Amino acid sequence: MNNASAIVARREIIERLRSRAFQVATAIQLVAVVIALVIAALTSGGSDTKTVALVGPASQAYAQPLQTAGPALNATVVTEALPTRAAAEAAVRDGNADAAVIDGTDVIVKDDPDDALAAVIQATRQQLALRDALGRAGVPPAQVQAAVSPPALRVQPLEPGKSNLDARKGIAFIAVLLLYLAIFTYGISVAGGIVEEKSSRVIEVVLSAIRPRELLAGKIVGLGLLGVAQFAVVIAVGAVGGSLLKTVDLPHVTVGWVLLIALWFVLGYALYSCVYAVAGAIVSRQEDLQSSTGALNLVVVGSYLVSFLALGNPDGTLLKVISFLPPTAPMAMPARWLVTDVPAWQLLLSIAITLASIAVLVRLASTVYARAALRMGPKVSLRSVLAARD
Amino acid sequence: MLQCRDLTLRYGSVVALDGLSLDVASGRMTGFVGPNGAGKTSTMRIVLGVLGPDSGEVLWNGAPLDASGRRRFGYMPEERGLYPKMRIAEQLVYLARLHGLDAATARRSAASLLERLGIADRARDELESLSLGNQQRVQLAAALVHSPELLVLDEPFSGLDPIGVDVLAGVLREQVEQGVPVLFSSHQLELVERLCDAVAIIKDGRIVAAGEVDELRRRGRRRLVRVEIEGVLGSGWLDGVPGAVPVPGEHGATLVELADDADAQRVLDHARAAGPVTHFSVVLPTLAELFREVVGDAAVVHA
Repeated sequence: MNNASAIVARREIIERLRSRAFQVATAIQLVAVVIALVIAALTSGGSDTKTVALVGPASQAYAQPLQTAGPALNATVVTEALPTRAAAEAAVRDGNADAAVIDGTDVIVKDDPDDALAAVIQATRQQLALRDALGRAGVPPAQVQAAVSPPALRVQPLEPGKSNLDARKGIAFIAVLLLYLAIFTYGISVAGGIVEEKSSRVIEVVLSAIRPRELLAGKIVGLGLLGVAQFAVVIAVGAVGGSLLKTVDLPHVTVGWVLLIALWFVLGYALYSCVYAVAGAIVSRQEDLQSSTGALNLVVVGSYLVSFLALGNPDGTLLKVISFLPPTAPMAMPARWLVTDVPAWQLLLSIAITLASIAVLVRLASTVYARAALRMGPKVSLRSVLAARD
Repeated sequence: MLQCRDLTLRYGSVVALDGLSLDVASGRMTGFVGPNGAGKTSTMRIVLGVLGPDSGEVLWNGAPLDASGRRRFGYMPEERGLYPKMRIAEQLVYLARLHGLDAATARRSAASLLERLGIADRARDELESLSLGNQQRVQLAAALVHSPELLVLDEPFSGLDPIGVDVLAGVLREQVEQGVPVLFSSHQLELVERLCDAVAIIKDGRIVAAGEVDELRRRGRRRLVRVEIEGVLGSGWLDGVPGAVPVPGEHGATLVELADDADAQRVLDHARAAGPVTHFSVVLPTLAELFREVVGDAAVVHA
């Protein structure tokens, strides 16, 4: 990247930042992230505290065991003594209480008789009955306590990596979607920027000062940097917002994952932007861009869909294969990495294959661009460009 | 001093340039004229390095031209174009920097050019918000902003109103006076004749006439004299002068075309015999006439 390319890259970034379309698109992305977080907070949040109303002296014994049963429910259990059955029913109906215990014999819940909280209350009832029986049989209170509340068992998972599979899958789906959107948007931007210079004819003025290769490199690098920055802002807002709202279990989203996704964005963008540059170089008008990028758009969308579908079976052959193929690797490999344990050599091999493809495509793009940049008029056939002399 | 030597260029089976050689001297305004499709734009693009020739070379001050030399040239392509949505001053600074200027120099240069071209108050506006005339001024500024060592302009006067023509002519003259060689193409031959020190006429990818404008006109093959005789209208007095044919045209005077072996003095003798001669002069062909003459057939004229 020489000085001329740096100047070109700088212009690309400044002009794009200034454009209304870019500002609106960024705002929409950020709003979408915030909305997603808020929805997640509303659906999964709010269940952290369970209130149980206790009516009558016989129910009071439930208070302490219920409170200690909280962790099993993934919640904090609060008990509240109410004077009458009617008051308890009203509290449950209004949502002020999640359940009520009446005189140690009846349990009231709002609608679901198999409610997890009701089950916990049943278990508490058994525990209390056992304690009473042991107490009546003359067992000392300390032994009763040890019998009803033994030390917890140690749990040893055989496949610890499989924990939170759903959460990891969810993150992988989001990562694939983000990668697809970013690669697609910025690839299209490269093609559009090239056609803009051709259709406004400024290309000839610019190429009288610098070489086509320098212009192309500056354009791709400038837009790529902007893409990484936009990507980073969206992820940062998501991560910070998620931790504030406590909806995303942040330990799962490690810095390493974010860096890996960013790396694959760079690789995927480099790969596709070269092909989009070719698609842009062979036409002279924005109207023709649709037809020249059509097939390429299908490849991008297809790669996304295949990666998305293959994620359903994280250890399947399909996902393995497409995580090495150049068109799909930028989406499939990071997705695979997020959901299952990929040997490091496979990751490195996939990166190497992608880099090699990029090297080939960079040469193709700069050749086609240099030859077709000044060809105006109807769409130029790729074959005629490649057959032309240097 | 720019020299093009034996440039050839083909597009498939079409020969665009066929051994073209052309000199543009320092401190000279050189007009580049020729029919459409003769190869003017191809020649200019090769000089600017936008196109590569099949063979031949371009020399700058005697040495083969490289990319860093070309970077110091200024160019206005026939297809005008700048970034429509970019602010004018930033656009000029950007182009100046691509031509190798540092940021501070580029900013100063852009500001002073906009001032000189009378559009300094629009410096922060987007190009597309300007009138067409002002956009053309910006285009000129884009060619000048890096203080080029050579200026190449493809049809710079097309589409300009008379005031625009004067402004552009003044700016180009200024550049020439600073020693910058200026080459521009045009179909407006009267304009070329009026502005240019030298001219090159191109036809079918070759230069068919080139040199100082006055010299070329003197070398024109058509010889004309203009005669005015007091009290005599018509051209009956010419009868009997060998090789002299009256040409229709001017009111109150007679234009006489002379064959190669005809003697102008015999014409004068006959005129004096007809009455008192109030005007007798040799008329040089205009550039337009010269153009029709050399482009009409394959003759090569070199001054």
